[in-house]
Amino acid sequence: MSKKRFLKAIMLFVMVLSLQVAHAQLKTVTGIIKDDKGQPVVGATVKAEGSTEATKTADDGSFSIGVQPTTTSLVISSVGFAETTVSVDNASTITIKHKDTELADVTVNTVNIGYGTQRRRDVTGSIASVSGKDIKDLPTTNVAAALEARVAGVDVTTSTAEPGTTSQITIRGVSSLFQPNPLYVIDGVIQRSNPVGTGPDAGSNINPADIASIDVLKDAAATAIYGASAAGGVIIITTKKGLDRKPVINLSTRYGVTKPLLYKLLDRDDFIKLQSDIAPNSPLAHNTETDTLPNTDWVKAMYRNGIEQNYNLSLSGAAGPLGVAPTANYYMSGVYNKQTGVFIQNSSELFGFKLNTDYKVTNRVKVGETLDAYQRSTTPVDYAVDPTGGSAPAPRLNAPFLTQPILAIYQSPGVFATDPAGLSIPNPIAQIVTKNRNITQSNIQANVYGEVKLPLALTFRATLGYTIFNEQGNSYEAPYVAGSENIGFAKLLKDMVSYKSLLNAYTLAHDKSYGNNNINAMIGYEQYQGIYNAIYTSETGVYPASFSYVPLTGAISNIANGGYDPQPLVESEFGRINYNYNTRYFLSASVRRDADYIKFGPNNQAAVFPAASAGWIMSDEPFFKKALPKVNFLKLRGSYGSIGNSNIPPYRFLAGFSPSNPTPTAISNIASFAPNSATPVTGFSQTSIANPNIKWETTNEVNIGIDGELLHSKFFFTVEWYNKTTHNLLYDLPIPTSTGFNNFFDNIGTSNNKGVDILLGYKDHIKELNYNVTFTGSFNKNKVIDLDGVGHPIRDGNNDYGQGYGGMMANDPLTYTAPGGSFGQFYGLKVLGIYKTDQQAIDRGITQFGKTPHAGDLIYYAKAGHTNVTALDDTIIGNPYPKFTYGLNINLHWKGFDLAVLFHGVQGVDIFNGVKPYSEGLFLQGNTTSKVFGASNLGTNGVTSQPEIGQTGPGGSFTPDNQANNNYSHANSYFVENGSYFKLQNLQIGYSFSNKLLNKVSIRSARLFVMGNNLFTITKYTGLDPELGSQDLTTNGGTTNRGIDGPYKYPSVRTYSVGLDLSF
Amino acid sequence: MLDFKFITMRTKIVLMAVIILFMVGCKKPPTTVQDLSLVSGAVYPSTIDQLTSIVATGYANYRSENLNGFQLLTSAFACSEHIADETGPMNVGDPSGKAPYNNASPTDAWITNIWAGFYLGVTDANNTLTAESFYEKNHAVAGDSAMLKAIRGEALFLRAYYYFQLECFYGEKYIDMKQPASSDANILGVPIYTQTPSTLAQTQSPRATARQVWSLIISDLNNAKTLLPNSWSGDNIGRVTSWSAKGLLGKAYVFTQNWDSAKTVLNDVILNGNGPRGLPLQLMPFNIYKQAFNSNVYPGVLNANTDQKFNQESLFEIEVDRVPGNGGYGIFGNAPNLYLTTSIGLFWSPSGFGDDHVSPEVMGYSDLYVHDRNLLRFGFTVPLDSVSVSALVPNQNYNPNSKDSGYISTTFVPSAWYQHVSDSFRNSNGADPRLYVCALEPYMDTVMFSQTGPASDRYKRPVSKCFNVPVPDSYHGWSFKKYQTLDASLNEGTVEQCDGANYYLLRLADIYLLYAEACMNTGDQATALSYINMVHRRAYGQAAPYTTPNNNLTDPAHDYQTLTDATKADPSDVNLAHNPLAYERYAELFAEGHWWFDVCRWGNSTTGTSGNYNTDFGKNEGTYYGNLLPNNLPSQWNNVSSYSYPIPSTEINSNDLVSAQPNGGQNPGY
Repeated sequence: MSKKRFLKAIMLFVMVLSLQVAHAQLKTVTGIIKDDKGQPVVGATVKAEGSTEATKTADDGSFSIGVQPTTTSLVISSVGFAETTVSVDNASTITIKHKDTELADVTVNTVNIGYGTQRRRDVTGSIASVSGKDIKDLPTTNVAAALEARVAGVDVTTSTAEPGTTSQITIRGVSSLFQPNPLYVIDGVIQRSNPVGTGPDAGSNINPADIASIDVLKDAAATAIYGASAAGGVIIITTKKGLDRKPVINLSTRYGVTKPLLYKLLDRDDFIKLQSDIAPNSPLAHNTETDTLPNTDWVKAMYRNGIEQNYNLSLSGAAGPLGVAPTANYYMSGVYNKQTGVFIQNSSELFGFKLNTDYKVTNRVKVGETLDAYQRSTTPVDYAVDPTGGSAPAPRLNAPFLTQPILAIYQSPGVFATDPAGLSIPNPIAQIVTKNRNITQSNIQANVYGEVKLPLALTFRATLGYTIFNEQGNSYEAPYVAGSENIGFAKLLKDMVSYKSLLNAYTLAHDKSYGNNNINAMIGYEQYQGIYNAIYTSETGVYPASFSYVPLTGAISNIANGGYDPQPLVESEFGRINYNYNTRYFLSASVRRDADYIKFGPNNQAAVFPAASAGWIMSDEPFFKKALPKVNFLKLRGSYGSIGNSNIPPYRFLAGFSPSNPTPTAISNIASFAPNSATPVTGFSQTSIANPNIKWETTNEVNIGIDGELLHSKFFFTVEWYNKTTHNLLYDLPIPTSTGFNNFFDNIGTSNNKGVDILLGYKDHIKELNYNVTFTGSFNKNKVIDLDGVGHPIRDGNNDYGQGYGGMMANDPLTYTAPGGSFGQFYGLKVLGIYKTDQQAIDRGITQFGKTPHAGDLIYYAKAGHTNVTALDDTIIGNPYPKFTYGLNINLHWKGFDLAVLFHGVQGVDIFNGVKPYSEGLFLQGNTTSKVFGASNLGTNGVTSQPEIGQTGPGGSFTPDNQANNNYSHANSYFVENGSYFKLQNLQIGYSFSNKLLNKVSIRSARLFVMGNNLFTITKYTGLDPELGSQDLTTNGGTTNRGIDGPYKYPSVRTYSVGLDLSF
Repeated sequence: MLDFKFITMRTKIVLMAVIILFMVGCKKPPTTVQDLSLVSGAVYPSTIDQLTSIVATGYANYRSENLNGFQLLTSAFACSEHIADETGPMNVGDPSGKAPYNNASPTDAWITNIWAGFYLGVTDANNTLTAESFYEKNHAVAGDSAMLKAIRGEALFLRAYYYFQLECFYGEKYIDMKQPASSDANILGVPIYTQTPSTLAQTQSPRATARQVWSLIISDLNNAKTLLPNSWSGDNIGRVTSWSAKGLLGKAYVFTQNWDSAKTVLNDVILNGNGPRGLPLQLMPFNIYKQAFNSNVYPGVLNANTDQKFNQESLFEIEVDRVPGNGGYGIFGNAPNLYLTTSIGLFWSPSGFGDDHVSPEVMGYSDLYVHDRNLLRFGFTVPLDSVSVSALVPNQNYNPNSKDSGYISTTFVPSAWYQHVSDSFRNSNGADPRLYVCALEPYMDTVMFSQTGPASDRYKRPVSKCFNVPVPDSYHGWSFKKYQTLDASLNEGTVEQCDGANYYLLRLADIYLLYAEACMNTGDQATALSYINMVHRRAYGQAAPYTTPNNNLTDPAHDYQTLTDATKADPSDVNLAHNPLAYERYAELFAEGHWWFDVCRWGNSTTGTSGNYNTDFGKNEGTYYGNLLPNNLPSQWNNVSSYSYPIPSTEINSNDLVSAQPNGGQNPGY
């Protein structure tokens, strides 16, 4: 059905219903149902006693029921609660009590399944939940980071502590070369990023303190209702709503100090000692009068302790005529977060505001809105590559290996020191402090919805959403001279990017029980359209230190780039039916059709994603109760579904001409055919090869799960097995540069992920000590089934120093992806040992890189028949994907004290320690760490456990490693380490003050806490922090460059915080 | 039992309002979408100007970052053939510091990049051919045909030019096309693409045989020479002509030892050819030649060069515009679209003495300087220790306030003896006069740092030893002069931060020497000697005629008497001391991107074993140049591998038809 006809049908249907007004004489009873903790109970059945009228409670626990005038009592039933009968006269607020033999209190008792909610016990797909209160105090503004180690199958790594950046989140393994992020759905509205250019950063646009609950949809059956966007899993966030007629004011504050984990480089004396060892004839060597030389600690100059502070204020409540359930509720909050990075001149500041309101216009009509606004202002470490041309160099380095301690930062105040002739060492401080950068992102999202209850147990809901995202970047680069770097003139860059999007969504739901047959069905239509508009400008020769565009004489202005695109459009139709018999046997099916008009060509714009699942609550069977009375609850469930991925750049099915002939960083596209004054011709070239046949990547997944509770529900568990296969992998296939193009977009292969997710929990109390221990673990194995469209392995990963300096393993790809193995396995020479003597190498008779190795050189494995080891002898030397990841979450409450401990562990993983060649070897004329003194043949060393860093020959000449055995200059297994770890991720100790005390000062509750993040790590890894994500998410979605610890990385940190939560 | 009582009028109004409001925003799905950041290939090109914009990419590409915008002369040619020495491992073109050792690795950035750069030129040419057909079919109007023919010819010429370069750098060996094809059936060249790929399958192409590559070059040039006009006019004089095609064709014949064909076509060029402006081809007189590689925007400074662009010696040339205001850091500046320059001037820039009259300063990056052994090759034999710090003497004429005179000195200068000797080398032909066209002598030559700065900055400064040589006393440290900007520092704000002159990619002196080589190899020693001498003689300022071939004029004082006569090169110079042809190719075409190909074709041919052909030619070069920076180590020459660059591993990793070839598609020895 075309979209238009579909819409007409919905409209007609709704109108007909609204006009057919029947007349009968019922009286209406309204009220709200809460549990014994005051939380609203959703989906509870309200029946008129002795009659057939029945209804269910809404999201806020409210209900409205028409009953015969003779009805005197209502019967309230809900799974997990004791059945309760109340008089019609007392129905305005009804409290029902939990039965203690159900899942009830373990997690929230309802789950958001997308376009609707479901009781947790009824769920047939794989959905895990996290309560907002568990994460609200964590020192982050990013939802993904807050989920770290809390949900089985959800792998979150936070490898950088750069303010404002996001964590890497992977749900049930990597499957794609365009690995999508999870889809974030906030209060029913999909958070879509801009498909054309910069846009809002989903997951970073929600204040964790506003979150009531998070539901993570993991398997295809659960996520298929989001179809084409769901391949990365779905994270549904429900924000807080006002509950209480008495307004609640909540103030929470947090202040923390972050300490970077850093390398220590050689100081002056050790540096000179090293020079003496490697190049005895150099002027520096054996120089004793060195105390006049500078002794600069570049690490210390570039890093500092950072600060994270967060203030959150909220007001919430409910309002309406007394005697009935509140007809309106509201929640508003504001947040301020400021982080100063551990890197100098690096910070982020965030203001946010949120408003949620719902109004009952009539008993059958409800409207509401959510309004979110935030502004994040960042002083980034490195501005994105200047889109208008080259930008001055900037370091972004774990340790500035390319520095020398004997060079000063400044030669006089404000004047950068100059390198001696013949030395070309950048001055990172000059690179950093001459740049004045600021990026401000603001995002306003407003959604309104209207919901009408119609006859035939139908509910129609319409949502209109509008999002406006705006980014403004300012960058002022001052001229400077620092040795070999000479930036001649001031440069100002400005950019403005806006992305606006409009959402129209309609759903029609039917929810009714026919005897023991309970049906919940829903159909919907959703349309999402966007407009992108951007301009990038630059000017050189501007008035100093200002973003205000004041040109000096001779300034060169250049409005060089921009973009405009009103075409982004996604249209979706979807439907779902949930059926259960006697709340014991469950069936569910859904289907979604998505059409994306800018990602795929005319024949492939739309795709259909179906799913089905079933569940059986065995523990409700009489035979089961008899056989296993200790088991309070046991559910078996299984599902199969299909989901899509279109997380690729747009328009790759089209080609065209562009006035650019870009080579790595500069554009050269004009030619002149006559001397000087002639008008040059601007060249137009075809920029890419179009592939009109690209289509959706599709994942099919089977999930089988079992949920259970034992021992009076003190012990609870969920175990799930899944097997998912991703077909038509999308890939920006590198094609031979001899074609004149770099890539060809195509569907190239198949991958598979298998795994088991485990949740184990135990909660109990010992007298007044309540405790709750949850263990989440996940086994996952990803495997590339075929890459038939490529025909050769995919290589990726590097260990470069960045910004044109090459690196210790320059242009040497470190990973290898081929059928039969997992994504991005480490690839290089296998090291068999270190030559103890020169003779040993001669005896072996195998040259390495064309040369006979020496004592102290690594012994490389040579493939059969090879007498000279080269890159052709590379083999797989490690796997960056962990076999098992786990989290252990312990919560203790004793009187006013609470303790929360979160451990995060990873087992069976390798890391390519790419820092090691820099920290144990010698990079160009730079510095290294004291580990270098353990190298073979250095100074008076013989052969040690570290290979030699180069050869000092007769006459004091020094042959660098990359001209010799490549011990540190070619990827090899010496640098592959066991990356397993067990980390104390978060420790919180809090004390809640007693109410008596507080009541006197009109405070409802107060909690003071101290917290530590990333406190300690148990690992064999020799680098700084084994928690590593992908090196570059823009290449193959990060899938093929994971687990590489490189020198070009923002350090991780340890955070210590204190906080206070007050409620009035 | 249904009850609709609750649906009140109010509810209905609200409901209708909601529905109407929410339907408003819906959008009709588009029937077609376009990538709005591109011009659609369905409509472009629809005018001759638009078609010209496509052929222009093939010319512009030569100045791209991957080629002379950054890496070609700077990293590939200069270091491989040792005209330059890298001052330090931080040389941005070769950060691993490997290029000078003739021991490149398939992952080196410059190996990867010049490959990509040349192939982008091939693609530009193929795109032009496709666009020309498209235009001809859909938009051509009466009167277009001559232009369309010419554009086709340009595309074929450019494709041949780029394949020529690719084959010379990356081909396994030079072949002798006189021999039957079976004799070199296993010698691999480079992959061939004669059209823009439109499917994945078309993106895969194995390395063709060397013979196939040369055959394509020759056939493209044969086609180009009939399609191209004999000359252009007005704003088009920089476009290639049929004479450019014939010249390059002759060169291709020489490189494949097809002497007879080479002689025919080269002789045609020499006798009948004309330059870009339609005037007959002839060698520039030396007084013009010595300025032709540095044009000054500002009259009256330095040697007051006149503009020698597109002169009568030129067959193929790339325009460099030194228009004030179009400046930047080579091609890396702030408005790259405006620059008609490369970045060679940036990396080769001279060093001069700064304001303190003592310390050297750079005019750009000064990463590369003229390797000292080149001085010896040009006959400059002054010992190094005469310009060491201890040999300098106080400058008697030093006057720190003498700026107004337009000249300052340094506080210390070389001894009077050195000045005298140096002068005799320069002015009495002690050294090959072309040395002073190619390089700048510290203390004796001058540069200007500024044209727009304060008046106190606008004065000549003596050239210093290259700023970046690690131990100044161990090097002569001359700076490059060819193509350099000598009248403004590249650090200067908005002055033309640009290379010093147009780049000659093919000029008549090269043609003469190629013709001589063809004659020499077919037994016509006299003609060979005569053409070698014509090129040689010009350097010694002998009066023309340079226009008349086979002239009988001689210059006994300077002419070579035989093809094995002694040259200016040092007697220890095995390759050049008694090889006028090789010497002239080296000295005449120094720093123009030719010598490396000569070294390789003479050292790495399937058949050549006599005359210049010597399998150790490259090894001798390596030995001659001694220690090389940045690591101060000797050459790591290997006769098996060093003559060919490795095929970049990015190519092997992405081109299955290459990786399936013998040795994984890689050249021998890698």
